[in-house]
Amino acid sequence: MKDQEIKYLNSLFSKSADEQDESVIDLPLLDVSSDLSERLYAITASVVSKTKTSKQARVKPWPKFASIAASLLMAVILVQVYQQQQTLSQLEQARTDLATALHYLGEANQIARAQMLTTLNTNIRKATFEPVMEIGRDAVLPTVESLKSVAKKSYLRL
Amino acid sequence: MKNFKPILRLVISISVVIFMSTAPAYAKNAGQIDFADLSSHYGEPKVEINLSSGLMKMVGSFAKSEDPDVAKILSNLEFIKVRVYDLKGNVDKATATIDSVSKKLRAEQWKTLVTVNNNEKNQKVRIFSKSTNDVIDGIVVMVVSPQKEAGEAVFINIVGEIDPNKIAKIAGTLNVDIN
Repeated sequence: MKDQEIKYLNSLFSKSADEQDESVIDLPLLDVSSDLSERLYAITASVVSKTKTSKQARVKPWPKFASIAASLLMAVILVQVYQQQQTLSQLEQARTDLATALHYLGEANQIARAQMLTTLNTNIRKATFEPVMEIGRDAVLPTVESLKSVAKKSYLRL
Repeated sequence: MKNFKPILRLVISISVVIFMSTAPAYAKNAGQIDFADLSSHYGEPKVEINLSSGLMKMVGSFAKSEDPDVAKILSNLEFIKVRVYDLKGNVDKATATIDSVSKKLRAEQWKTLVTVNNNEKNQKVRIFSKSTNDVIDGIVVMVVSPQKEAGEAVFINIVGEIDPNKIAKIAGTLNVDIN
């Protein structure tokens, strides 16, 4: 058996490449025990399954990675949109608050201004108009007689 | 003596922690004041506004395209606080608060800008300002006005570099009729 194999191997390595293909045809068929054949089939089965799993391992992560990346991207976009909306609502609230603050400031200004105007008017009235009225009330109106005498005097002087 | 050292270390570390936690209170701006809380007398304020410098800068930055001056004015403001209480017909506590806050402000060298005491209408207005080197750091406005509905007390504190003449400009940009 061994001699046969050695002969075959010698002839195989001594032949050229073209002759080698033909030599495969000449390969003697050997009787293999069922136990060995089972073991050999088991080896090929395990190799096939290994290559399958390695292929699966190589192919499957891509869709997984893509889906994770897509969901992450979606999350980032959603967070950004949410943050933008929050900033806008905060801005609108701040504008409203500022307007309200200025409205109350305006009201205080209005009350103060109205009171100042009233006080000024009252004091000016007291300082100018009322004394004039007092003078007018106390003044003695000239009588016809007194006017005549004044006229006579001025005529005499002329 | 050996036991004293760890105790000293502990006391020092506790003091440092206490100081660090209370430090912001000392860092308060010169123009910022605390109004007395009147919620125990009049309930929660009708209007409660706390505008930080960040928010005002944000409003300013959006108003920049409309009016760059307004953006500049707003960027100089640090804080705006507004409290408006419904007096429910009882002006006493609000009037007393205005008097006590006014007293405190005068003691802290705030300048009185406006004082109105209308006894007929039971109306009070106080406007104070605090300045450093001719620049206004803060304005305080307090108003008690019993005429409006069941009476209203308004407390406003504006902190930052303020030009009162330019306040109206902000109001104009925000479409607020200040008068």
